[in-house]
Amino acid sequence: MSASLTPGPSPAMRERGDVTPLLALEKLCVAYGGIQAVKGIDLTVGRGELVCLIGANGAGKTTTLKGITGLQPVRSGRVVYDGEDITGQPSFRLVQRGLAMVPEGRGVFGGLTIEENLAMGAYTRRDRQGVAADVERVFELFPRLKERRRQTAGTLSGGEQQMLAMGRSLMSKPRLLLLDEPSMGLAPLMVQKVFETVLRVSAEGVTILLIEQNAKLALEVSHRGYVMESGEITLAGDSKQLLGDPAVRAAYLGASA
Amino acid sequence: MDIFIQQLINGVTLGSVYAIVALGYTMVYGIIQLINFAHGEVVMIGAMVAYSVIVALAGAGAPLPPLAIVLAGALVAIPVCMAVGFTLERVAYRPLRRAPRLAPLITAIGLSIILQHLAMIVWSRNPLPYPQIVKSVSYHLTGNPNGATITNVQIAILAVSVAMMAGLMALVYKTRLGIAMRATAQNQAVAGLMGIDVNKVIALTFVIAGGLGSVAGVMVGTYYGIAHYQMGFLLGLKAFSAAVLGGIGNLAGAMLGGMLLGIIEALGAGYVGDLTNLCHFADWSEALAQRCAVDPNVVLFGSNYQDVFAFIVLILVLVFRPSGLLGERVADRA
Repeated sequence: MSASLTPGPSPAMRERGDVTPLLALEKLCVAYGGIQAVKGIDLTVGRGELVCLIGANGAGKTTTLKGITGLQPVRSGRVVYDGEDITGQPSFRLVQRGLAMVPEGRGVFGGLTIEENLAMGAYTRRDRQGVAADVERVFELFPRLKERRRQTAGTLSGGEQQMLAMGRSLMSKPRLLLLDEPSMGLAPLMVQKVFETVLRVSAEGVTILLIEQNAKLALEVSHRGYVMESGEITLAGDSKQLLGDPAVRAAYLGASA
Repeated sequence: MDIFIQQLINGVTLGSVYAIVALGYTMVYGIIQLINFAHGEVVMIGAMVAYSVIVALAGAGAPLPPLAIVLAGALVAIPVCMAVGFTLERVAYRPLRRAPRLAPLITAIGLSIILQHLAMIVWSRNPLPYPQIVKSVSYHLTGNPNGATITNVQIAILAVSVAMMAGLMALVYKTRLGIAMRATAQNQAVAGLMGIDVNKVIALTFVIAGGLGSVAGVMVGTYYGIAHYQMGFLLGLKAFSAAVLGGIGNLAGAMLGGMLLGIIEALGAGYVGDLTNLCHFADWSEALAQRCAVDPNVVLFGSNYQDVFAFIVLILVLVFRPSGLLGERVADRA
């Protein structure tokens, strides 16, 4: 991957230890019926940080996100956002607090036009002019969407839908953005474009928790990383260090140990 | 030709009422994939409440023009039916949102029976004569003085229905709430992630459906001049058939299906007697010829078979085009 995909200076480095993290998971357990998918994990995302959570399919990454956004009930543990306990809050309440999520498989509204999808992203906002300006900003970021603004989202390609999903999530002016597998099922060129956007959004000061199966790419763009296996965090640290870690290299980067 | 035009007018009038009721079914189905079988009863309650108001006002000799009295009936019926719709959702359907689909369906049938019997307790088991306070005026459509006519009531029903349909379409396609409704219909989880209070949107859908249903109830009562605690059952089933005909979950489909069903039913009722008149075949049998000499109308199926057509249509649609006229094919939805 090209050199353009490197994270900005880590905010954790800049302002070490002076503020509470924007998001903190404390011993979070999430279960589907009797199956414990997330087994008491601890994770923090500092203000302005880009943190990735990597792991194999079925490790519990998506379930973690669902636990944070109230899509899946939390069995035990806490989700603390901006110093406040938000465990079990319905997802629609979180948007007003500046938390946005791009779900797995993008989740665009296929029967709605691109403009309507973006309008739904700004559902909680009341400032019409600001919304209109932000729609233009998204179109600037993704000119392809502007050309098709009145088409239904179902007619877009997978990559375009991912762009729409990201643009839509930005419409709520989030402070924390949760991205679930943004590279899934995309052509390499599109993956590059999506990650460039992730970095650009991060550079604008949005805190990001990125979930990815593409471990190499995720570690390259992020400040810090967590590795998840069978519902538990097995490794955590600086992304650069993780990239060089022999265990990570063997398990996720396809290199022989 | 006059018979044809007359039946067409009757059919369109009936069809617009079906369309309004069908919209209630299709909106609820679209958003939570539930067939709200109690919707016909909501329509009945609308007719009943308006009946009580109209009787009270007309009986008290209130110095109001007849149209204002009917309007007052509707204005009371609308909020009552909205409240009924809201209550059904909140009390009965919401707790079953995550239950297997059979559970809310059977609940809906149960609610339908409960509402019927509550209405029977309140309004008695007898058919109630709707006071014909609006004087019916007929307008001739052809040169023939005994030919096809349209009444002022029919014109009013058509106008109100078209206005409500246009209003609903504008609401659903042009407003923020409408877009949120469509978003919720497509993906509740993601709609929640947008900050949409999904429960509120679903409740509002029931409220809107109830409001539409109440007006339909008032129109049916005024048109047929009668209200009965069981009137919602058949009306509801027919409107449901109309929604399926158009493609359930599809608003335009419900309107098209309602109109088509009304027309099919009216034309069917108008012609079934003639088409099944055995005297067409009088040459074939001596006995038949003798009977036809006495009575030229030996009819196999009379216009009392009117109600059959809706269900013939329902069966044909389910066999040949289960997704309905405007419905998407199921495979396209994934």
